Order: sequence, then C-alpha cells, then structure tokens
Amino acid sequence: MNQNVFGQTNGQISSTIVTASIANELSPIEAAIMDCCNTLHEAHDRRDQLTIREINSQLEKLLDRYDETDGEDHPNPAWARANQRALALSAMGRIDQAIRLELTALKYADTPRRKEISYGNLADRCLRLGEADRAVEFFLDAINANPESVPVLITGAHSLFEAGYIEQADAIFETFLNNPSLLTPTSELGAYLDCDIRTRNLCEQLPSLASLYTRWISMNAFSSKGDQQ
Amino acid sequence: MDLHERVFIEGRSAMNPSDHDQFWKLYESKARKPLERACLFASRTKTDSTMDIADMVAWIDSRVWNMLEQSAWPTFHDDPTAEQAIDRIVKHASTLARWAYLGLCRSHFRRLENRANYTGGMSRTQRLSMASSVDTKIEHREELDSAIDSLRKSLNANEKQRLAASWIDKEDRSRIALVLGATRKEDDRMITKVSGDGFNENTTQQMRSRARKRAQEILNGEKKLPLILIAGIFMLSIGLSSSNAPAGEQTGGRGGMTSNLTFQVLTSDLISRETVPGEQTGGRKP
Repeated sequence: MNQNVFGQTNGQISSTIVTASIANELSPIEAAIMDCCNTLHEAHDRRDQLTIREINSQLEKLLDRYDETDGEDHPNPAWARANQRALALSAMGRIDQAIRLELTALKYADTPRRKEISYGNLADRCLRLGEADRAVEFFLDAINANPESVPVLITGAHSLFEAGYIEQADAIFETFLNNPSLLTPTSELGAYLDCDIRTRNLCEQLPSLASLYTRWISMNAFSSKGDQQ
Repeated sequence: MDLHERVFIEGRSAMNPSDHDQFWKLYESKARKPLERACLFASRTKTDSTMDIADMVAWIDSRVWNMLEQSAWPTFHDDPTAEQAIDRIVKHASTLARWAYLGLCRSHFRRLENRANYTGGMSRTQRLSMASSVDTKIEHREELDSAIDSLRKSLNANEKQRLAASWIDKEDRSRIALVLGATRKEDDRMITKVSGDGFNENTTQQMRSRARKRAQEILNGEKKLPLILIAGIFMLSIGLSSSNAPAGEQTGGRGGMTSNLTFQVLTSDLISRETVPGEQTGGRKP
C-alpha cells in the first residue's frame, strides 16, 4: 500500500496518539520519546515539515541515548529498547519497520502488560496500513493479555469496524457508556475522545460512540456553565 | 450564617444525648444507602455525574451532625427517638441530597472550570502526557465479552477453513479439513470454490501463506490449541516447507548470538533499510 511522507495512506489518516497507562512511571527518556512521538504525529497531521525534521533528529538522539543506557536500566531492556524504537519508527511514518521491530519486542515480552502493549501497538499499526483482519487478530491477542485496557479496546473497535464487525465495534463503546467512571478529563478514554482524530471520525458510523461524544461534550459544557452561575 | 442553618437552629429542643450512639449506628445501617442513592440521582440529573457522591454524602453527614448537636429543626427539634429521626432522614433523603448539591455546586463548578481551562490551554502532546488509566475495573461488560468470544471462535474456524482450502495438494483438502475439524457448510463451499478451475492460483498461494503465517504465530505465542490442530498445523508446515510459496514469517533467528547482539543486529538492519514508511509506551512496571 502506498504511503507518502506525511503518513497518510490513500487519503486515510494514518497518524495516531501515544499514551502511557501510568504517565509518571516512565523514565525521563521514555517520557521524552513519548512526547516527541505525539508531537511528530501531530506534525504529520498538519504537514509541518520543519517540525517533522526537527523532531526526527531529536528522536534519533533520544533513541541512541536510550540504547547506550540499556533502556535507562529498564528491568527488561530487550523488550523496552525494541518497543521504544518501534514507537519512534511508527511516528516517523515507517510503519512496516515499526511492525517488524515490535514483533521482535514481542519475543522478549515476559509479562501480560508488556504483551498487551506490544500486541495493541501491532494492531494499531496494521490498522494504519489498512490490514484490518490482521489488526483484529492482534487485538484479540492484546485483549487476551489484558481485558481492562482502554487503549486496546479503542484500537480493537477501530479494527473491528474496518474488518466489518460493526456491532462488535459498537459494543465496545456501549461498554464505555455504561462505565462513566472511565470518562474523566485525565483518563485514557478522555484523551482519545479529545485527541484521536480517527476516533472522532468514527462517531458518524457508531451510535454508541456518538452518544459517548454527546456525553463528553455535555460534561465539558457543564464546566463552563458552572462559571456563569 | 446561611439560610439553611438559620432554619435548623429555630425551635431547638433536646434529643437525649445517650441516644446519640444509637442514632449513629442506625444512621450507618439504615440511612446511608438511601442517602447515597439520592445523591447518585442528584449528581446524575444536576451535574451529569460529575459531582462526587462521596463528597455529597460527606456534606450530608456533617449537616446531620450539626442538626443533632443543636437539636435543630426539621429533624431533631421535637426530641424524637433515634428511630423517628432516622425515618425522617430516610423520608427526606432527596431533600438532603438537593441541599448537598446546592452547598457544593459553586466550588464544584469552579473546580471543573479551572480544570477545563487548564486542559483547554494545553497542546495535544501536553494533554496526552497527563493521561493515565483509571484505577477501576470495567463493569457491565458481559455483552462485550460475549461478542469478543464469538468473534474469536469464528476467526479460529476461519483459520482452519483457510488452512484446509489452500492445502497444496487439491486431492487432500477435504481430508485435511476433516482432520482440522473444518466441517461447516461454508468450509465445504470454500474448499470447492478454491479447488475449482476459476480460482486464481496466486490468491490460493496468498491464502496459504497467510494461514501458515498465522498458524506459526499461534504456535509461537500460544500453547492452548487442541493437540489435533497442532498436529495438523505441524503436518502442514512440513508439507509446505519444500514448496516455493513465498512466506516471510520469521523476523530473525537467534542461533549462536546473545539476545543483546541479536537485538542490535536486527535494529541496525531495520534502520538502515530504505523501505517505504493509539499506541502505548511501556514504562517500568512489569
């Protein structure tokens, strides 16, 4: 499948967002890599070539430093180094390479959480390459490793939708609707609703996601209304 | 002194102090649940569930404590027994919840506003850097789990179907299907379709390659397959190993190298290649 330098595949948005389940447990370099990846994805969306060049070079330096310190003394450096480099490659738009490297990371994934992260990232990247069937398979592996992961469920909903399993995709967002505690400004779900363009685009197709957005918008509107009272 | 407090203090009388202990025991066992339900309802209808139920209940606890201490109207002004007082509180739980909402709404909405301004002024990168998972289990997920289970079963069945239908020797396809347990009507239809003259050989090869790749992934990653399927896949792998079908399922071997060295070789190899170009990052936790 053809992919241009802006990370767009046949007009489809192929950038993504990077989240961490516990942001403050990341090491300084990991946090910097995450921020760079998100900035780079956003720059691809805006087609901002200057930022893309700058962040690419910063990312290379960060990854070299991460390798030199053996993943900043990560308990499983073999997995962490491959996982971080795959994140960076994905943000640079080299999704094929990111998939291959994440598959390498997967070989060293020794805990359910690491497996979930690797499988979930693989699903996301396959989806961005337009391989929905493969994305669904990786999603099923990821959800098997951690049934509670919100990012995995959202990636799964996208994969299922693209693979033609519309009802199952909607069931995921219906479950979120039934769990209002997941819907807070600092939650992963809130971050996806605010920042992920693909999720926003999907709400025209899935009624439960549309209801979720309506609730999210009304919650945000409440906060500004409160000030006027 | 606000309006409510003035109303409570009017017409004060005295409840027997020795009954206070009994009152609080009854309050915990009989009044707590109705109050929580009333607060939940008030929070849902008035703040779209943004106001914390625990905050509202705590506000009511403190107000009831004040009323009891001052023997104040409308609950304790006429020296009721502990049971009578509890009955009054339960009966007027929704009023107390509304008072709690009124008492807390200003600070609550101010806090929401501050948070919205704070998050609204951030870039997408900053916004994402402060996102983290919520420390609660996902509830009411039976429908979702059942949808995923049925999907998993159907995909496994499709894998078997593709494995059998793309078997290199046309004569053996039905036998392989039987061994793998791909005995549904649609499996039979697929085998007939693929074996027919009109089916593109290239498509069959792709199907074989993908099915084999997936089988390899399952064998590498999982150990939960039925023995017969593992045996079938193993047979298939041996059968295909001598064919010319293209398949690139291995990302690299580790023979004779340490894991770190392998990783470096793989990494440098991937980076140096000139190929066409909601993730999660890891962290320290296992």
